[in-house]
Amino acid sequence: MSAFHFDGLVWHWPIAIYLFLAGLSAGAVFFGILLKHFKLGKKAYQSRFIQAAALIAPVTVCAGLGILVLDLTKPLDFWKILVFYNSTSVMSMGVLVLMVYQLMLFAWIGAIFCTPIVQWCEGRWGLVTRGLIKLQQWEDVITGVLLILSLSLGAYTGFLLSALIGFPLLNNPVLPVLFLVSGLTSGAAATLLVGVLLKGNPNGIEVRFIHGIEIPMILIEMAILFTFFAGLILSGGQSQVAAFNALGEGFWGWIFWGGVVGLGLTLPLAFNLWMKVSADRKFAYVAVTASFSLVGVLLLRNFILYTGQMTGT
Amino acid sequence: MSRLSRYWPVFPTIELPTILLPSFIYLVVAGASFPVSAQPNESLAINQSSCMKCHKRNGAMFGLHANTALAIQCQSCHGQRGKHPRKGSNIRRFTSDSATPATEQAGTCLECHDHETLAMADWTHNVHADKISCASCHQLHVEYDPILGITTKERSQLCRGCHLVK
Amino acid sequence: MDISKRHFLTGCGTLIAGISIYSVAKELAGSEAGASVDQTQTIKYAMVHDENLCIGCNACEQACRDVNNVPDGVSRVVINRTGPFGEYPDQSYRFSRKSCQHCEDAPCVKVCPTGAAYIDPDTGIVGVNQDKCVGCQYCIAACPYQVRFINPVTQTADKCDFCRETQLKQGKQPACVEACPTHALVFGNIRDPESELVKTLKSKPTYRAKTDLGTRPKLFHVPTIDGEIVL
Repeated sequence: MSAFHFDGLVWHWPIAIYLFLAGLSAGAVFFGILLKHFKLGKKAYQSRFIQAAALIAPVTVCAGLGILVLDLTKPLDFWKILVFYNSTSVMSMGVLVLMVYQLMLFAWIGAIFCTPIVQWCEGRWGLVTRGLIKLQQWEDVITGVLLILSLSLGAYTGFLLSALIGFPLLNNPVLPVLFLVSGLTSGAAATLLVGVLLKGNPNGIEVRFIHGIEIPMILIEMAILFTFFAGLILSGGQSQVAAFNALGEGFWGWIFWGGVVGLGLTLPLAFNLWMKVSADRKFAYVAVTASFSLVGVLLLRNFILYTGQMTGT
Repeated sequence: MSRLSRYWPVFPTIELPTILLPSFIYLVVAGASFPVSAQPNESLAINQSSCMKCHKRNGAMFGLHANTALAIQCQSCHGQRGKHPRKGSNIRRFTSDSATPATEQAGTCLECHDHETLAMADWTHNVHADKISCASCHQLHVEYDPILGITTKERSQLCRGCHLVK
Repeated sequence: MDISKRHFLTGCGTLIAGISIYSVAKELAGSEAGASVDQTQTIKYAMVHDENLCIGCNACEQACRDVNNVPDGVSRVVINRTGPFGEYPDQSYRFSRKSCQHCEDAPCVKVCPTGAAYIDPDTGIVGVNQDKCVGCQYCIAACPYQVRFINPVTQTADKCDFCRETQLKQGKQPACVEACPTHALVFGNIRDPESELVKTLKSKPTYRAKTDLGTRPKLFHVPTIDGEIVL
């Protein structure tokens, strides 16, 4: 039995990457909305970080869906998922959420970038201008719905796995919360990373605001992770076996302790705390911290997906 | 490996690392089949036996068990001739309907073949151990035991032959 | 309150109201449908595998392969063998049938995004609609009995359907049941008290796998009684 090939393994790493990208998109949107609402207001479109979020969110969600489609055994039949729905299926409901989410996402981007786009159009394409202005009028509704959808999408990545009743590690009520919080963390990290890469100010209010949320969020994520495994171990039976199989010695044990806990949570937390007390933030600090967070979340997705399928009931 | 493992019990104490396997197979094939194919079967030591005077039709030995290197004689399996054929004899006959009990028939085979190795080759050896004779499924006078090459379907049919409930 | 906030609140309120009405309505519709299926259904197929009678000959698997055109490398039914138990030469093995359990509350049907996995209302058989299946493999991961697979020829999810498309259509028993030399398999209508299936269920102790998951499977096993007791 190797780490990537074992009996009972159905879903491979492409699914983990899809879950990662969907969560990341949701997180980027979530933080984009918060930034605009609480800090930036009408001038939000000028912020490198809002631009980063508006770039990341659609790209990652489309890439994730692309991976999901390619992972089907009949990729050309993917449209059937969009035509046939099953209300008891988490995947089907997720697809519905994803569709509306994408729609709302583009509407939101259109609404917040209305001013620069209309300026750029200079009166050409009257339809575009009128449409964007209409979107801007409805921006609050769009924002509210998109916020709910982004949280739904983040949680959906977890519900997708927790519906698998045959695997005690996956069939766990804490999993959706864990994936939601880690998805938001990855979205924040990606927004910061791309923001500073786009020459955003690493010491700006956006970075300070996101870092301020990130510290409690990492602590919450650690607590959720602890609850997740403590709950499994206390459940006994196959749940306990699953937890020990995952956390114990072996490839995935190393990934968890070194990659998820060490690289993905502890180091970003330490860096964040350090940046909080030190006078100003530098590009390298922000970029490295964000990269660690991103790698940590990606490893967490793979860790949960693989170790989850290792132990059945 | 599967074909070889059937013959493995003949050399129960030899354990070879996998890397030596190709050369080992070559040795076995060269050592076993070469003389068999190079000489007429009648010239094999076992087929020079005086038993062949009467048992010409069904007594000749082909295949692996006839290999000169094994030095198997008719008596090795069938037992000493005794008063055969004049009076009733104690010669062991290897068939499913033989007067020789199944346990005795199997015991003869197990002198060379190790039951654990047989179980590795096929689990059904274990459940039939002292219940039916080896000859119910195997033939060893012929060049090549037909059961070694049966398909999974033929195998199921073989089970059905005895286990069918009407 | 400015106009945009009112917009936002109205939007959210409508959304939440819509979602709740939809879910309540669906629940009502669902419970009615579920109840009516249970009451009026006169045929509900099930199977018993008697592990004491099974000899592990695999005739069932081969018959299934032939009748249902199951490609090599995958199988709709597998007889799992454990053992040997006991000391040579008195050894025994245990056999357990692994195939679709045709759950009343089937996880594969619940998770299927397109509805390709379904429970046939006339027979209770869990089926796969190959035209709807896109091969997301969610059902394969969701099945706690791990009996589903992707058919390498059709590229869709596949599994035992009690020979619904082959043998049952011709009024015959499933291929595995016909092929079994020892009558270890009994197939029949669980709603018919006179059926051999119901009689077997009432005369022999049986168990079903992983019932704690709430799947209510319709594949019953008569447990092995010989050999040592395994904890």
